[in-house]
Amino acid sequence: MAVYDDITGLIGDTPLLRLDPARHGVAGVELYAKLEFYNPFGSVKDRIAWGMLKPHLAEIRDGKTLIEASSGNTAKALHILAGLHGSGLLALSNRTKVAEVRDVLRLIGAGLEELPGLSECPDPTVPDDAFSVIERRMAEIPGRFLHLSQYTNEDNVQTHVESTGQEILADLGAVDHLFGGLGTSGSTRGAAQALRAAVPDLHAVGVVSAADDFIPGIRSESEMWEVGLFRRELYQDIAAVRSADAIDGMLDLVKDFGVLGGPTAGAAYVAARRHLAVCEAGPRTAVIMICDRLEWYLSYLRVRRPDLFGSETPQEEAPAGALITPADLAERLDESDLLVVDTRGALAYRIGHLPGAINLRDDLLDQMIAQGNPFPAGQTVVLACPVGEYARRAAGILSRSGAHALALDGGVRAWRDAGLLLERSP
Amino acid sequence: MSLGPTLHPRCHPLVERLLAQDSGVIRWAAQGSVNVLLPQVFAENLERLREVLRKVDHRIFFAHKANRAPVFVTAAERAGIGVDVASEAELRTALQAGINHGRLEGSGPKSGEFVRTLVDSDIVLNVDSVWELVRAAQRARSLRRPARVLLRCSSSTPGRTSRFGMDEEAYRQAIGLVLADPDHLDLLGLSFHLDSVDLGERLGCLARVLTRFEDLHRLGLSPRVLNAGGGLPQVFLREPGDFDTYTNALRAGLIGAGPALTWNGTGLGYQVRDGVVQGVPVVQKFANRVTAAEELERTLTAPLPGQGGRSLARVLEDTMLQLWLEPGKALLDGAGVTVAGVQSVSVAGPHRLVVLNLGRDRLSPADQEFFVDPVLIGAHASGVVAEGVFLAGNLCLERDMITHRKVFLPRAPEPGDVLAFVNTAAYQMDLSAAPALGHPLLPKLEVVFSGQGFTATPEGADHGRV
Repeated sequence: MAVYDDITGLIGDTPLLRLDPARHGVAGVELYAKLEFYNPFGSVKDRIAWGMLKPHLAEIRDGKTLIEASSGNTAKALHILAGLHGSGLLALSNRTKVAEVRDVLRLIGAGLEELPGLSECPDPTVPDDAFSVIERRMAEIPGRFLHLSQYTNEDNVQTHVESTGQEILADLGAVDHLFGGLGTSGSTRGAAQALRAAVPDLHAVGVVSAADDFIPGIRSESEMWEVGLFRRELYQDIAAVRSADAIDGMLDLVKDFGVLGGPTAGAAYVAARRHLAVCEAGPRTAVIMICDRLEWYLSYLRVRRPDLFGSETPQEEAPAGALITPADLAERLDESDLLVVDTRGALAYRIGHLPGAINLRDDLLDQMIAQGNPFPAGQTVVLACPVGEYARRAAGILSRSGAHALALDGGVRAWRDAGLLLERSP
Repeated sequence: MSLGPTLHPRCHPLVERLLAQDSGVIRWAAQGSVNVLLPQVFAENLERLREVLRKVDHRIFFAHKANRAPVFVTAAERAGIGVDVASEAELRTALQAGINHGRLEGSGPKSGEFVRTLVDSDIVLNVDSVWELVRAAQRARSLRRPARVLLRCSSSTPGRTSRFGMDEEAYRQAIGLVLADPDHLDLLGLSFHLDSVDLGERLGCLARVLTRFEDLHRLGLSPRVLNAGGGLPQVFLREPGDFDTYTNALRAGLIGAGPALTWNGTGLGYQVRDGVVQGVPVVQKFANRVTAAEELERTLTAPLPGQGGRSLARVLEDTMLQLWLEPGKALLDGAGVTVAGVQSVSVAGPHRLVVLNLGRDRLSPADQEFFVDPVLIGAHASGVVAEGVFLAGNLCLERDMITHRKVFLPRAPEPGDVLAFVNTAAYQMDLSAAPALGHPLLPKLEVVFSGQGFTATPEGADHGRV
């Protein structure tokens, strides 16, 4: 490995990975993945952040702060690069919907102004889209901000012509198909422009999210109207991919090739397989863009595919547990070998729980139960859930693994309705 | 023949049937425009929400403000739900419909008199400001019994200030007032409303309000209601892709990449800058594809921020809070049709104008646009004429355009034709209708289907067949 003096020296020259045809399954196609997560800050956006900023270094050294509409990767790269030259970034977005992206931006010190989501009845006299807000901010304090404007800046495209496109040309020569996600459209447009020098009838496909869906980092076709760089005529096709398919594609990339790309990589892979499968026969070469890594998107994936995170604990069949009424339990609360376990959420527990109860949320208790009885032998455990349903099932499973477990009949609600005391946590 | 983009309405089967028949309703409208109200559609919408809520302790209050007609208040009464009233007049309508005080809630910004009436009648006040709370407490003291109140929290965000509800400072003052006078202010709980189509924002707002309940308990209060307001969406269009197809063509027209589709180049909220179309159209709500029941289901089942992956439904069950909802448009979705006659047709410059026998304010507030094509009664829906028309109103004003966009219909409308605008019951048909030029307000017809046919009853008349 070479030695570098400056992190910007590590931007670009990313590797291509040949995807095993036996695994991608499209006959006669050599499919390559351009692994943009090898860029130093982790995404294809590192290229344009540097490409757009380099001509303006003097301005930010003079104290100007960058302002940009970005949902994540561009903001991250711009802030880091500006920081190296004594400045920083204010990012505006109503598209920063992924918690990790937001947290990383905060962690590295970028300013983040989150715009409200679409209003049901927008007030036409108060436009609050990102572009209008940037104009307002710049007008409020003239000279304070520098807006590189990734959605309209031709340096965005030119950077990809000169780097991404040239790299693919140098490594592969003629390429027949290019598949990449459309955000600003800079990477696909720039790379396609360079590749057309070798193959004029290159088949470029812009990958977008389906109209009523959301894939972080790319837009729907209808949203491309806001993108000044977008030129519809430069693409042979626009492929709309659903987020569920993009996630499946992403998982295929991990499983079949060890490529840990993000959801846009999955979308590009899905679009490529679909398109190439119905193209004319004959040996062809195709490239897909792997824009960034999947670790960014854990919370996005958790919402859409909770099954991937093992949160769906299979419900065991067990006889229902024995019950104890609120009145009987109230009599026995002082017994030293009796433990009341409140299985509700922490908020509810803090607001009010049975005297002396500990809090062990049902999903956590389920994980413990799966390993056997987590409570000491000889202890009587009373499970208190909202209305008694969950506790009865869990007490049954616990009893089967040797615990002495009871369920509070009617749950905490019945306890409260019986006029019995609930205590608050400090 | 090139086809223009269309925006076909999503029609309830009852509406399909009504518009397909040569019914008395349509003949009536040929002489003068009319609003048709369908309480049966309201009842079905309600059942869908109830189905989603079957495992959640909840109460539903129909937001009367969405439509002036008593018909829907009566439908709410029959279905056993409550009514959310925002004025003395709405309160009178609800009481006349037989809804007792225990099923009512007063919301929105209130006059001193309205606050007093609500406290006197022992109706729950959804308190919008400290000023209202002070007046409610005063009145309660003189009556020597508590006023039942919810405190409405502001849903302002850094980028968008809401004019409703109490911000942090006002909320703290309000809690101080409640703690100082527990005998006269019974705090039932907290409420909020969010004007956003973003589920994430809704969940974030819910999570923030929920943490306030913990603080209230710590202060020794026992709130038991979370009022999540309204904001559940409507679905206007039959074909999900129509909205994008039309707005794509509209935007192409704005930058000269296609034929112009709007009146005098208006952008309907879109702005052209450097050859790029930006901004949010005023017709955004017509893009929605998610039904109110689906949106409610998502809200109840998605993980809430900061609650260990628990959903709203789970947290409500855990905390023994009752969920209150104030749907207006969600219950009225598809339950109203505005029927108008073609008065005349003319040519204005390059455009064909179709003048209707009603004004723009009968269909939509001035700064918005009804973004659904009308149904041309009696025309075969198979073909679409290439040439679009602008629909104009019957007021003597340049701005009295029913549509600021070209409408593409199955054939060119002629005088005497009837057009039906579907799904106008919620905030469209009577929010801003005024008797300008002496034109009377549109009569309202309650239309009910029973086995063989429709029974139509003019509002205010005894029930009978038209």
